Amino acid sequence: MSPAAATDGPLLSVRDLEVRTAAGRTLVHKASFDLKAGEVLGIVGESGSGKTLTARALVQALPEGVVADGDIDFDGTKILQSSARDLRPLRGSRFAMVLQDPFTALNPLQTVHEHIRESLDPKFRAGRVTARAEVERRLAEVGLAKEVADRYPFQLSGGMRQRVVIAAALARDPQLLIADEPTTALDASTQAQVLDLLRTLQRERGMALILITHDLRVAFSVSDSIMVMYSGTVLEHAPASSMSAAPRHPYSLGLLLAEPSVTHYQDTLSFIPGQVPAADTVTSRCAFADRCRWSTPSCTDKAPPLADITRVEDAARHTSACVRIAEIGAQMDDAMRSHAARPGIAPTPTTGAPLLQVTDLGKTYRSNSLLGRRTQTTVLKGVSFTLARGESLGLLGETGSGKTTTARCILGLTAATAGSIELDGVDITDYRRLRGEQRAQVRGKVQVVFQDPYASLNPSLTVGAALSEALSAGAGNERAPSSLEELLGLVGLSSSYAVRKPSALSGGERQRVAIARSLAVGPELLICDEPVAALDVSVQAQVLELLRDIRSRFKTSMLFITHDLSVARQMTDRTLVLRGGEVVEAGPTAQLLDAPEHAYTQSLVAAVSGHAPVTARSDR
Amino acid sequence: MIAVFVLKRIGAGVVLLLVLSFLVFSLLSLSPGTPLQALLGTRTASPELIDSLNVRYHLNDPFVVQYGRWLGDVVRLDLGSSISVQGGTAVGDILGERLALTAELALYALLLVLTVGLPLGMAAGIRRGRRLDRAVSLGATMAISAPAFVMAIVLLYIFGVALKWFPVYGTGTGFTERVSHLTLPAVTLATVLSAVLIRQTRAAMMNVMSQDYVAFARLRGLSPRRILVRYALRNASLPVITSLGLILVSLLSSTLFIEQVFSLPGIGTLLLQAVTNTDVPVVQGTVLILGAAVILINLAVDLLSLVVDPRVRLVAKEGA
Repeated sequence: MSPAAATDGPLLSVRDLEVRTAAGRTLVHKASFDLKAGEVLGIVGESGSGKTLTARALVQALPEGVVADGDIDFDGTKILQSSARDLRPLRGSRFAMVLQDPFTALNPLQTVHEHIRESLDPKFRAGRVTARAEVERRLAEVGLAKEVADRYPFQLSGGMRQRVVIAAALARDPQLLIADEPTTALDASTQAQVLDLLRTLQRERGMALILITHDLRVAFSVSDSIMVMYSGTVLEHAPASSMSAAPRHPYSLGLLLAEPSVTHYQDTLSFIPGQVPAADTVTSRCAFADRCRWSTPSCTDKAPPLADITRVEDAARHTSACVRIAEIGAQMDDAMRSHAARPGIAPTPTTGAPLLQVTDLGKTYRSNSLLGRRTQTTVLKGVSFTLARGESLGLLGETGSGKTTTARCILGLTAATAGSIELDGVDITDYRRLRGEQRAQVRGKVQVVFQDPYASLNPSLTVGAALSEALSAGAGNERAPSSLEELLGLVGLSSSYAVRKPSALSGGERQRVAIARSLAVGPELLICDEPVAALDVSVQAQVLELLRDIRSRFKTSMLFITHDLSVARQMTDRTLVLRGGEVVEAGPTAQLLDAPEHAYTQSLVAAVSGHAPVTARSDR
Repeated sequence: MIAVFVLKRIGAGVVLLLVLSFLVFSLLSLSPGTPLQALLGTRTASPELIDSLNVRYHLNDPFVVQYGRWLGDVVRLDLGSSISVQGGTAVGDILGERLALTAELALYALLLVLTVGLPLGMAAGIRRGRRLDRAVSLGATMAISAPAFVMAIVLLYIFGVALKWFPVYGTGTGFTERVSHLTLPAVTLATVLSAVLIRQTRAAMMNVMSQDYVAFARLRGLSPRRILVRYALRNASLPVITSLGLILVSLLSSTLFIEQVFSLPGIGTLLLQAVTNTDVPVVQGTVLILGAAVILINLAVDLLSLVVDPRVRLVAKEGA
């Protein structure tokens, strides 16, 4: 056993960790924390919070051009002062790290067996037979059959790959595992399984675990304590139970409230206004002050220290970097209480005649090679639904369920191979058969908002140019906004944004511009393809609120494509559950999520209610 | 299943070769004047000669039948006989003579390209941004932008005329002399091509070194050697193999020109002579041989990537 475990001192002790670019720009500022052997720490934060850099600094795995400074003591080893050569024997055997994306973490030219074998301790690695037996044992530990050993990574699903990655990382039984967003790239039901596995392995081995995530719910489900980071600083570090019941920093509170509820409809989705500042600009003040409703001049005078605020109900040490916490604590508790006790009533949709009629839609891809036989892949089969005017319909499903293909067929981006689509009385199954003016008419009626606002805006056009272009396409439609100012106003942006380029905008702002662009022609149907999946939690709710507002103002019909049950709950009247290209269940959203009938829907709902994660972002 | 895949690829190669042979055969009727005139060349048109040519090339038969018969001869390695380059000699014999030299030159150049280009490219890719990388990249840029004919003449002047280290023309007899004669042309050929290979390898290496799997391998504490060989080199070899095919093919086409500059009697000079003298049978033979070489190179590249990449193997197994 390690000396640390014996004396019960911390296994890992971090003091005043600073991470900077080589040019001197601060990325992480004065992070300090301890981790005992066998303990689970969740580091939570949005993009730009410095959570990944902090974790990477712990094992000297920072990207090129980034340097760390401070004191990291891992069981007697000063990590930052050690050379790469000195640390190598510790890697894998004392501490290990699992990366976010299981699709890129494995050598594509090596079998699973080779991956695990090379990671094993030399005493198992040597003999053929011993190695094989040991690899099988390791695979069984992560819930994989021994046959998997001879497969190559590309033959495995994402969940299986992540299991292989975990098995390889743990092959030399480290005392500390750092998992950087280990489930973010996976589908919802797989996420829950992988988290379960991590939790089980951690308990069985008594291993310390640092889980980095953007998702508070994921952190709660696994961690003993949770550290909230924001713009490079630690804002709160608390036992998980205290954090979920009574967060002691306005930002932690904001994050908790911003998670859209999966169990009930919310009249208003709460969000944190504003955006994350660069870490470098907030080193001598409270990083969150600009977005905090309780902010006073005392918050920006100097950097607030991480102060001990442990109370009797805290299971362990609790620290917060809010200087006003004593004054505002009661108000924050009120906010938590009213949030929990406020199940809103979903508005009864006032729906009219059918706008979109999809009948027996099918899509099969055929590959024809010059030599050799044809292959066929069916991605959609017999999908039928009707969307009424003013209605919001959810298409819920995981990767490969066919939800995006359905949208692409309706948009005419790909042609269906079976069935028909009728929009407002016009058969749009095959856009190529439409006459020019007819096609223009249809395009004016149906518009789309894509998942990734970083990829869906032309980087060389200013916001104004992009939107004016779209406006000119909608000229003559009485539903379309008449001016650029009006259009920007619709999505809550001032007209000063017109001269900016997408690169100067945050993710949330870009998505607003993308929404404005689709509204420019005054569409009757807006297809939202995972519109918030690429956005941070605090921004997600803003965009969802905006879409709700648009719907109520223009009576726009919406087709909401999502993998996220809570988004479906908040944004749709009816939901279709897709799996493998077929509709497995359909019904009013509230009813469908409260009392799912199909086993698959039940498993999706169970994955969420078991405190397991709900989001699966990989899916594009 | 792999065998089926390989057979299919070979089959495709044969089909391609047939198409090429048809085009090559059509040269005869496409060349100015009648085919008979083309075959006669500068010889006097005695009735006996005309008769023998008519019989030999079946000039009175329909075009397709002519092609069929010609193809039959080609398959039996009978490419007819030269008209003007080496009047009367069988084309097969001429090709045999010339091919050896071109093959030696190409092999020599390939060896240089591989021993210089691969290590330099790899080193530059791994030590990206450092002094070595900058030096290698600068060198590669210069080599790539220097036209081969200028390079040939500069090298000839410096090492052949001024320093007298290497002979200026001729082929030499015996292994050592042959090597010394072929050095300057091989270096000329290799310069541009190793620059291309350096760039490809460097890019592939840089790409691989920044991959998550390399980071994850380091995080697991694998030995640097294992990471370099099993992770970096193996993965970088995939794009390099593909580009190697292109390099080999362009090696062949540059040979045509380099042989001329260094007065080497290889396939390239032969082709040029044959074209200038409208010696159709020789042109046909040369083009066929070169075409077959290109097809073989591509086949070899396909098979090599089959060996290296399990993903390609799987596609092959499923009968792509």
